[in-house]
Amino acid sequence: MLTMKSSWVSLLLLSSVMCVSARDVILEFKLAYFRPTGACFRQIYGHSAALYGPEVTVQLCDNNSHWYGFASVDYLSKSGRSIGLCDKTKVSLLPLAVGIKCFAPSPCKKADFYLGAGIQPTRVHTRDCSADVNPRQTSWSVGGIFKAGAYLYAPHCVVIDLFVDYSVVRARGKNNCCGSSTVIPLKANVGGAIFGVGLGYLF
Amino acid sequence: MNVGLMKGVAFLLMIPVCTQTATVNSVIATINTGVTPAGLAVTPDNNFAYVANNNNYGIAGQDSVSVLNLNTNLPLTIITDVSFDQPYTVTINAAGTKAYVTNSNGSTVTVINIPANTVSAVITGFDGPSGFVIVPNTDRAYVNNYGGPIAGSGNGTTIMMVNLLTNLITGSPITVAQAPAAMAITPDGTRLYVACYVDGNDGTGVVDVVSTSSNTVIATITGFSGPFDIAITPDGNYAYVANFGSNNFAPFGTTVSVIDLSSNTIIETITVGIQPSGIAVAPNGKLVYVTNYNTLYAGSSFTDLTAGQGTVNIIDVASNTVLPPTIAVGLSPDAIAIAPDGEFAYVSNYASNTVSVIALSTFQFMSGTGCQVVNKFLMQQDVVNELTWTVSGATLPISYAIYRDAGLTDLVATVPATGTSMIYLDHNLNPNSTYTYYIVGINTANTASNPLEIVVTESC
Repeated sequence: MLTMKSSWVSLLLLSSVMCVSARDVILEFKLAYFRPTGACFRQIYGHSAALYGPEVTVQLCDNNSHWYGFASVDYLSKSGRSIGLCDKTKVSLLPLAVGIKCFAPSPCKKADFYLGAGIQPTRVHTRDCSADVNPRQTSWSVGGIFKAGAYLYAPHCVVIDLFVDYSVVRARGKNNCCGSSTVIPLKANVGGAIFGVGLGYLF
Repeated sequence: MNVGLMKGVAFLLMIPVCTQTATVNSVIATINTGVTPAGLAVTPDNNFAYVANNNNYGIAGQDSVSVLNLNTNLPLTIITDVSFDQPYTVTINAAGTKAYVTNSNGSTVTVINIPANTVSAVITGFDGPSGFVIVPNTDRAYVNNYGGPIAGSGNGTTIMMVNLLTNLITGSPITVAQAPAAMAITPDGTRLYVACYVDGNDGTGVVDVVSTSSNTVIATITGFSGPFDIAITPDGNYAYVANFGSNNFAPFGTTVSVIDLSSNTIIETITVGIQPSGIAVAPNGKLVYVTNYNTLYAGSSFTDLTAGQGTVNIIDVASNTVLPPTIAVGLSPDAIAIAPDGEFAYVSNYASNTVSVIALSTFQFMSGTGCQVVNKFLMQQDVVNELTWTVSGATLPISYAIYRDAGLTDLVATVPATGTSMIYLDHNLNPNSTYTYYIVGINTANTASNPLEIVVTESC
C-alpha cells in the first residue's frame, strides 16, 4: 500500500510542475514486444510476451520546452510451466509508469527523438497450479523504466511512436500457504526490454 | 509402461483405510476342522477348501472331509461317507467340479461332487492310496499305493492309472520304489515324479520319474531322506522335495532337496525346520512354502510323542535360500495348499485339528528410487521428493501406504495403485535434507507387503 501511495503522490507532483499553458499533449496506445531479463521468468514463461496499454505525454512549462512528462498503464499476461515439475502457471503484469521525457532538437519537422526515465509501480499477479503452493499471489513493487524513442508526425495530428524501453522491477513472493507449509517465497525479476510502437494523437 | 502419477493433488487421492490390513506371511485366521486334518485342496475359484480329516485315532464316525468357506474363513460343512477310511489327500479337478479323496487305510478313492458336496462315486482297487494326481488336460489320473490292507502301511510299491470318465483303474500297475508317499506331475503332463519314502533313513529315499506316455519308470533320483512330499514349479524346471526323515523320528529330516528336472539331479539341499512335511509352490513360481511338522518323541525309547511349534518356511526359488520370516502355525503342520490366486496358503495342523490361513505376498517390489526436485514458480518454490517404484506379480497392489518411519506410524499418504510403475511426489519439504520412506503395498486380499525402503539424498 505504501508503494501505491508514493506512486500516486509522485504523479500529483509531476502534474503540479506542468504549466497550465502546456502546449503539446500526445495520447497514444502502445503495443510492444516484451523480452524479460529475468532468467527465471524466461525459463517459466518463455523469452517473449506481448505488452500493451495507453500512454499520455504532456509538454512541460511552455511550448518551447524540450521536457515532457509521461504516464502510462500497461498489461502483460503469459502462461508457462514451473521449473522442476512443469506445473501450469500464469503471470499478469500491470506496470504503471510516470516520468520525464526529454526531446532532442531535430532538424526534421517530421520526427522528434526522446530519452526518458521514470518510476514504475508494478502489480504482479501469479496463478500457480500446484496443490502445495500458494495458488494465487499478488505483489506490488516499485521499479524504474528508461525510455528511448522517436515520434513520427503524420497528417491530421496523428503520431507514431517507435520506442525501446528498459524496465527494472523486482517482485517478492509471500508465504501464506497451507499452515505448516514450507513453501519458500522468492524474489523475481519481472523487468525486461520492450520494443514497440504506439499510435497516438497530438492535441 | 503404465505410470501412475500422483503429483500435487495427493490430498485428493487419499483413500481411507477402513479395514484392518494383514501383514504378509502372517497367520490371519485359524479354522477348525475334523480330527487330524491332513491333505487339503482349494477350488479353482479360491472360494472353498476341502480338507481330508485323517482321523488317525480311529474315532468312529470321524473319517470325514471338511469344507471350508475361504471368504469367511469358517467351516462350511463336514462330509461323511461310509467309503471314507482315514482320508489322507484331496485333489480337485481343473473344472472345480469333483474332489478325489484317497482313503489311506483302505483301498478306495472317494469322488465328491462340487458344489453339492455329495459322494458320487468310489473308485476301488488300490492299496493304501495316499496321493492322486490328474494329468493336465486329460481324463487320466495317477494314484500312489503307499501300502495298506494288502501290503501293509509303507510297503506299497505301485502307481495306478485311473480313467476319470469311468472311474476305473486302467492299465497295469507301475512298479516304483517302496512306499510311494507323494506325486507331482510336470505342467506339460509328460512326466510324473514319485517321492518314495522307502524306510525313511538318511539317503535311502528316491524319486522315481515315470513317463506318462509309456507308463514306465525312466529315471530314479537317489539321495533323499524320507521324502514325504514333492512340488514342481509352474515352469516345469524344478521339483522341491520335503525330506521328512525317519518315521521313527530319529534322525529327523531338516532339508528340502531341489531337483533340476532337465537333468533329473539334485542341485541343492536347503536346510529348513524340523521334519519338513508338506510343500507347495506359489502360483507365480517364485516362492516355495514348506511345513515343518516338528513332532518328536520327548521320552527315551520313542515314548511321549510331543508336538513342538509347527512352522512354515519360505524358500526363494531364484536363490534356493530360506527367506524370513519363519511362520508359526499350529501343532504338527502336515500339508499345505496355496489358493490359485496366490493370495493365501492353507496349512493343515494335524495335532491341532485346525487349518491355518497365511496371507501371502502376491507381488514384489522390483525397484525403488527417490530424488529431490525443486518445483520453482516465479515468486515461490516448493521442495519435492519424487519417489518412483515398480512392482510385478500375479495380483498387484490396489493401494500403497507411504510412511516416513520404519515403524510404519508416520503415514504420509495412502494412494491408489495405477499400474506396475508408480510415482509419488511428497511436497513442502526442507531442501538438502535426507528423507527415508517406507512404501507398503496392499493387495485385494488386504494383505500389506513388507515395506520398500527408499532413501532420498540426491537431487533429481
